[in-house]
Amino acid sequence: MKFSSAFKKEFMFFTRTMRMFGVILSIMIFSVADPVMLKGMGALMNTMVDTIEEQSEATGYEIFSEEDKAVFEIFDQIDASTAAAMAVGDFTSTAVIIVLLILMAPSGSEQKKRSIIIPRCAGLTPKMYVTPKFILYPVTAFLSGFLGMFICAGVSSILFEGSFEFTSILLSAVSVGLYIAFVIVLQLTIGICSERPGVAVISVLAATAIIPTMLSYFRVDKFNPFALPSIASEAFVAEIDPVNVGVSLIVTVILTLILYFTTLFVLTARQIDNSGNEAIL
Amino acid sequence: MVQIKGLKKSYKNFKVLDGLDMSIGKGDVYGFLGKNGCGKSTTMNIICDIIPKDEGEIILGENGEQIKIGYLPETPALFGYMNGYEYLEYIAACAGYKGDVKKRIYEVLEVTGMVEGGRRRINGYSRGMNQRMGIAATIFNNPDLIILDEPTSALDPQGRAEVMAIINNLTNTGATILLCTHILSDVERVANRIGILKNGKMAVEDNIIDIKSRFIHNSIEIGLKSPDEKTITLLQNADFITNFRFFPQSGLAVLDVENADEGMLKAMSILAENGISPTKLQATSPTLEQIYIQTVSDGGMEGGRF
Repeated sequence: MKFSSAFKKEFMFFTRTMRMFGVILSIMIFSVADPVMLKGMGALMNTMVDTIEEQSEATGYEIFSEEDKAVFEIFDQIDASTAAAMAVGDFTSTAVIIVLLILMAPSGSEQKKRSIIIPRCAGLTPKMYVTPKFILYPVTAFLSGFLGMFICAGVSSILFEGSFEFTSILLSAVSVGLYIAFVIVLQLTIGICSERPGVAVISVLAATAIIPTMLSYFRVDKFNPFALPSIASEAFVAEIDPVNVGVSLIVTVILTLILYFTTLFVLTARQIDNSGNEAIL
Repeated sequence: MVQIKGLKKSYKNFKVLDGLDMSIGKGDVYGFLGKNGCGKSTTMNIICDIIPKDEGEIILGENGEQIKIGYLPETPALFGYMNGYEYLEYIAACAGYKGDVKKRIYEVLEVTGMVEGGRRRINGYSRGMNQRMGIAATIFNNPDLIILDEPTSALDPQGRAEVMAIINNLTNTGATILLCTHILSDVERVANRIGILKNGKMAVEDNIIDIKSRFIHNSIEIGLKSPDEKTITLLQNADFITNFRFFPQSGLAVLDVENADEGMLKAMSILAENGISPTKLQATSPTLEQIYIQTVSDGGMEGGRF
């Protein structure tokens, strides 16, 4: 089977069911909305503080102490770097949840609905079924996350004071993009192997919550894909460990490949041959 | 084309197939019958390597050559986001079709009456169109064995007629077809062989003509021109009959007898003695439906007396 046909089928599904639009849009929304919300929150807090101060003057009663005011004025201290760093959290949590839900269908739904039976009987192989999925969806997620971080940095630099180094933005964008791509690959692996897209989403969400906590507990919070959100965030506000960055990126790529080959292995191992003769199906 | 020996399959503790033997020859149109849940779809899925067997031997092809199988599951799920042409292009790619793909797409769409429908997205198809597109995909690569699982289920009469016409055309091409359906008139129309599955085993398997001749005829139909009470009473009280039914609207009397030949002679004798000229007098052979019901019902006989 030609790879182009297999890829075309997956691309048609991704675009015609508006899922590509959904993935890109959900990531881009956060790239713009996060810094805007942060700015808006700051303005809201300032307004609240001013209002309360006026009331204090009018009543002669000090409602806020200086320490209380400092808490509300923290939003005034947010600069562009901090805003972008805070946005990484939303990218790698809320946006990822939305993308996982959008990509439930290619993660085992076709097997569950048995729409793959006729193509299988015609000759579809596990490689041609799985490979386009492991290219199209993670690459789209990576590019969306990558561009999204650039947009987020741009919006942050417009709304807040301060500037970035290009390397910081680049490192953050690569980390965020790669992290989202890895999570998608994890979803595809679990979904296709289990033929249960819902199970895949829940498993991945649980994994992204539990694994970093466990790794942190055992002080192994570096050199793994779940360190990428921290790297992306710290790239704006702190010095980062280049070894951690390099190794985490490489380990993520290697794990992605392992997940791909694991999926292929599972599907191939599951192939059934009931006949004594070798039948072409 | 297909030889199955001692096929067994259980789902947890439920034994679905318990030593099934089955034989489909090249060019056969094999009607595969049985109650709901008796294992027909399981057998088809095992032949197509969709689920594993527990025990038994399956030999596909003659002389060990490889065969191509086209399988249409019940209510086929297609890719709704594609149109028919695109779907068949994808199937062609899956099959590694070497010939002129566009030409072959047009051929199968023509056979299935989907030339115009093929331009529409599949998620807008009616059930009948979906079924026809499924058949188009199934036969695309000229399979040696075509397996159709309930191809007319959930279709309206027109849809059913269209699909059966397609299957009829396929049978004329000499294709080997394994057809699973509950609609026995469809089986009688297209199949030359049937197998009736019961209790996980093949209860009856043979050519339809041979099966019918094996099931003993024991009904005589008498058409009465002007049926009166005297004639009806005469026939009803005849000592050689086991059961009597009369259909006033058609004037048809049906006499169940022990032996059709003997019954015919006695019936003719009674009619002649009383000066009755029937419009019809014949021994009837059992319908496939009667054979099927007799075979699958509890306590039913298998392959013998009916």
